[in-house]
Amino acid sequence: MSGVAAVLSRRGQHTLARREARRFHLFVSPWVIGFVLFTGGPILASIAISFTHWNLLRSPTWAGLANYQKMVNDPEFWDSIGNTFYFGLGAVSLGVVFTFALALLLNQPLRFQGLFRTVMYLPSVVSGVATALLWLNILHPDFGLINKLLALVGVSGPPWLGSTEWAMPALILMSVWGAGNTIVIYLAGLQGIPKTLYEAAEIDGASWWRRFWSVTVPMMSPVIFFNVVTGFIASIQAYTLILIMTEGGPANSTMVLGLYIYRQAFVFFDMGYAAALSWAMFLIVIVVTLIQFGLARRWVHYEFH
Amino acid sequence: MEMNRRQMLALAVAAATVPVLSACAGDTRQQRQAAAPTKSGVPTLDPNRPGNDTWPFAEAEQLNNSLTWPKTDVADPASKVTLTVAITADVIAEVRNAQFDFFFHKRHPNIEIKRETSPFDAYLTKYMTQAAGGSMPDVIYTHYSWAQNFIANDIFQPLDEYIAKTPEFDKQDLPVNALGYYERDGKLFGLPTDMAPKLLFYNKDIFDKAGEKYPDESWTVEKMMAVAKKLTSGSGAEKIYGFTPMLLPEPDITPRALMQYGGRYLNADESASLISQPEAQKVMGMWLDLLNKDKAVPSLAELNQVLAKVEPFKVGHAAMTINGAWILTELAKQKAFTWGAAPTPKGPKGRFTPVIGSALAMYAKSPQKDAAWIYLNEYLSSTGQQFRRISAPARQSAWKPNAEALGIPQDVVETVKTAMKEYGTGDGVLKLPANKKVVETAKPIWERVMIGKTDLASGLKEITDKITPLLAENKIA
Repeated sequence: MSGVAAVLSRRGQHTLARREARRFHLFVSPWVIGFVLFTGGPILASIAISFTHWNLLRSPTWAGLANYQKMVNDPEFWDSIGNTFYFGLGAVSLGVVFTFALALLLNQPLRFQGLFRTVMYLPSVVSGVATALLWLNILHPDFGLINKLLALVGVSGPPWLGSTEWAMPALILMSVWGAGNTIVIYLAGLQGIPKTLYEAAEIDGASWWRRFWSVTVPMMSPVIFFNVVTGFIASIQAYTLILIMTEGGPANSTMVLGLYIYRQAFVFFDMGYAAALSWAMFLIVIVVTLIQFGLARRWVHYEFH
Repeated sequence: MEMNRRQMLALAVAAATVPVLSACAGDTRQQRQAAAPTKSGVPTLDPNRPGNDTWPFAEAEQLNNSLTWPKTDVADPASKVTLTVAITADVIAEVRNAQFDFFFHKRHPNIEIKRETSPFDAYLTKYMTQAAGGSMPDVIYTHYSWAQNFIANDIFQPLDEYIAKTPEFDKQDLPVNALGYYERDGKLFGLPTDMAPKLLFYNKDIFDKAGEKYPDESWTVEKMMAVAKKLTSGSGAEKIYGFTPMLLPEPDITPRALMQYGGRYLNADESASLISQPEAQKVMGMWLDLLNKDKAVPSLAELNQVLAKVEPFKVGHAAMTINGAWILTELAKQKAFTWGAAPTPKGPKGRFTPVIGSALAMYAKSPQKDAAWIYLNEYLSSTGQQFRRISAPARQSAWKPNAEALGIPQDVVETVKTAMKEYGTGDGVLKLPANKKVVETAKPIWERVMIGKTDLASGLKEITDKITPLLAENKIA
């Protein structure tokens, strides 16, 4: 009997597994079909387009490696990469510190905690254009909030977006504005740290800073790493807010790679070159991410159960 | 890990207050600007009686009935067709366009109009992308700077054959100096809808306050700059600029500023850069002095931060500007300051001003070209432009009635007419396919010159070096 029961049990498990597999494929199919049709197809097409000259008004003509050669010899392309790394490093560094600090604050058990968390998340649901207009006002040299506050302490604020030196720092400052999603991820990570670790540290007489540095940071390192990787990828691709706020100026000081691709594609309608630039961006993302994974071995602590 | 709760509360409240404070920090200049009727969009209208407070349907109906609409030998379609018309318009003009289409359909029951109205900023991208799909509207709006690219790529249909079938068509009523944007190999591919010269506008209040005489036809460029320097005052939010905007290497810079001294940005067939030559360099240097020494025009910081959002002249913060006559409607409506318009100042080589605007064209592969022509013929006729009450009609005969209806002073209309007849030109205005690349490539270099990071001669040479390879694109088949 026991053998029959075991066989029946295995059959039941197989049936259940098959049913689960069917449901799995059913549920993921909309995304997979959407990806293949609307994302995967264009991605593949962009490879072909990058080897053509195409102005949208006529059929594409074969260009061979001309677009890639042009890219290598294009100083604006290299400048845009420099600007992209400037923005990416600044935005990610500031973003990690700022959002982690905010998450620590929002993780404090106190009254109206939910309200504070909601308030901090609010900027994430504001549309990009509204955010840009808001920050144009905040950064305005004459009427902006930041310069008004600086004036209160006797500091004459810079022209921000109108200055080749200050435009990029201004954009980096603005980039932490919509970091609500990152804060949520940090909060989830913080709540996953076992309280017993803090209790053990307290018993050992560890100070606030020691507990933060030796318990919180190591335990949060996988989450920080995730946010650094995704944040850097997003920074490399960033262009919407920059387009609205500076259009790459002044004097191309905020011309990041994403915006440069947009300009080639939708201002100059040089689709072949824009496609080649897009693949260069993809390559940069891959290389930077691989480097980050390589460095992660030195500082990311995974706790395996 | 817990903090002092009071500190925590203070921090959170401070962070939450930022958006509120930011909203309060907006300047009143922008609020005034927001009142201007320049927003794009499509208002919801009653399809049977399109109209609103600005353009009541009854008034439009009366006007429509009072006008004589032009005829053509091109026959109406025998069966019903739908004509797709792609235009760009603000909310005010959109109502008038809806009314035009309504009455047009009454006159031509077999032609149904499907109007696609897009904001100007999104228009080109939208229809270039649509062109890639092999489908375009039957009637297409085009800016003067886009037309040659469309023509070179066989998107537009030559209109000469249709003009020949329309004996009433008065080509002489169109500005000869503006048709070049839409011509190629002796054929006309577009008909201008609006076309106007740039004029020297001035703020009478600022001139009166300073006891300065208003500009007139005797003014030279040097005189204009000297007065601009004199009328500059204040700082920050209170700053009054003598002149706005700063001269930039834009498509119309040649007739706008360089020809007066014998200079040009590009040569006539747009195949070579001339901006680094002494004549052009002299002018660019004069404007740099006005910017950096006299502080009489908005700086780069102010251009980027302020000018894109609020034009200082339009809100009473600049004594003078050179702008297109299409701003007349806006100026006529505003009550913040009194203004006047004068001929653009002359230089040693004479007086020039760019004449620019936009046009409508017919899609070369349109299946209903006859219906498209009937529409174009009426929409772009003097009657059509009078019905639409546009402030800078390409039809010269529409200027007077439109100006009267819009409250534009008669002396200003005469200034416009003189400019169109005597010194307005399309010569030197960049119009060939590479024009956008040329402008965008030169812009950051010139900006570096403006802020002193590159000297004038080196900057202009760099512009020449960078744009020269791009000009090969202008040698189109």
